[in-house]
Amino acid sequence: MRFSCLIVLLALALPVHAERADRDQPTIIEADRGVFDELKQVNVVTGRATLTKGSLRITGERMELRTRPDGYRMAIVTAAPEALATLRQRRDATRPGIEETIEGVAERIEWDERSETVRFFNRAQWKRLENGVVRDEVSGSVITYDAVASTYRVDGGERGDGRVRAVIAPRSPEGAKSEPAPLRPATELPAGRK
Amino acid sequence: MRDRLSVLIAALLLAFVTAASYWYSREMRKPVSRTPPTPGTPDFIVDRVVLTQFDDRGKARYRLFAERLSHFNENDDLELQRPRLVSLLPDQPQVQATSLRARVINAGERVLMDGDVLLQRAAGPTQPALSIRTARMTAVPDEERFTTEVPVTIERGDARLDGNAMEYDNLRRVMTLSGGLKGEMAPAPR
Repeated sequence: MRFSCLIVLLALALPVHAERADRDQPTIIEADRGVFDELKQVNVVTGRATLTKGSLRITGERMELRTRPDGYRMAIVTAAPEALATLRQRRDATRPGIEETIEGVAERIEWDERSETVRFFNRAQWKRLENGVVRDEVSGSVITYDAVASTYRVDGGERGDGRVRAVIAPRSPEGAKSEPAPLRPATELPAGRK
Repeated sequence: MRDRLSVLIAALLLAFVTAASYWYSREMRKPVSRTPPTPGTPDFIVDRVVLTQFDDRGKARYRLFAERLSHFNENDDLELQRPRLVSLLPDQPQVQATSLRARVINAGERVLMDGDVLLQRAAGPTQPALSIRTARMTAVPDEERFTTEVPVTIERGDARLDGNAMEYDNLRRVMTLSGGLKGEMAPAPR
């Protein structure tokens, strides 16, 4: 019998999204080596590999990159033995003065540009931070984070104790109480936004 | 006594004729002496040359243009100034290679391209256009392999790749970059 715990959570009642401006940013890959197979349409880079797209940054030892026929990209990032692949992304600011970021680690991270989902496999951990302070934290065997719907799904899996652990901060109207950001005139148009 | 003298004279004459004809045939067989070219200088030079390679059925496969072609007798090498190689294969996207200089060595087994090396492949039905830029490149034409040990920039469709060394196999269509790489891909169209 598959013993697994499953929770699907609305990450926040507030409409938060992965940074919208990230969508229109180029994808930048850096690594020590790379093999690009044009016939198989598979590109593999290895050695301290990083993927950057706007505020999104994924790191690992090996990255397998594919481009779908519609032009969207996918990446499967794996960590070196004993290490973990990492992901970090800023979310669109919804409350003034609060910068929200998400951070995740796992042995393998799968990123899908089209559906804007990220899946974390094995020893997966996912955090949401506000101004650098951890507000939500979950860990499990498989974590799926959907940036469009702002939901994450955690699967305890069959390994380890098969349990999911989640710490979710109370949704106090803290943001409203805090000092509002002072208004200042915009001197330039934000890049990638209209 | 007279008889013996005449026999001696006849023998001497015969010996002389034999020696003379032997010397003459030796002289005739000697190669015509020619001043050999100093090593490192070409034995012939052609300016604004166009060479075309044909297949078995007489169809043009490749055409090579060069401002100057120099041939070296001592090793049969060719040196080209501003060469441009264009493929004319009808069922394949056109490939073009240019550089400031190129040296064709070992009867065309290897081509050492030097200065502003640019390798271009036109877009095909299934793949976008490809261009490879570097300062020096070694080509093995029969195997369609291209290698460089110096920084290289590759553009493929809307993606751009920078590397410090490259090996490209055009038959398998596999490119390997090493010594650090950076790739930039434009956002997906929407």
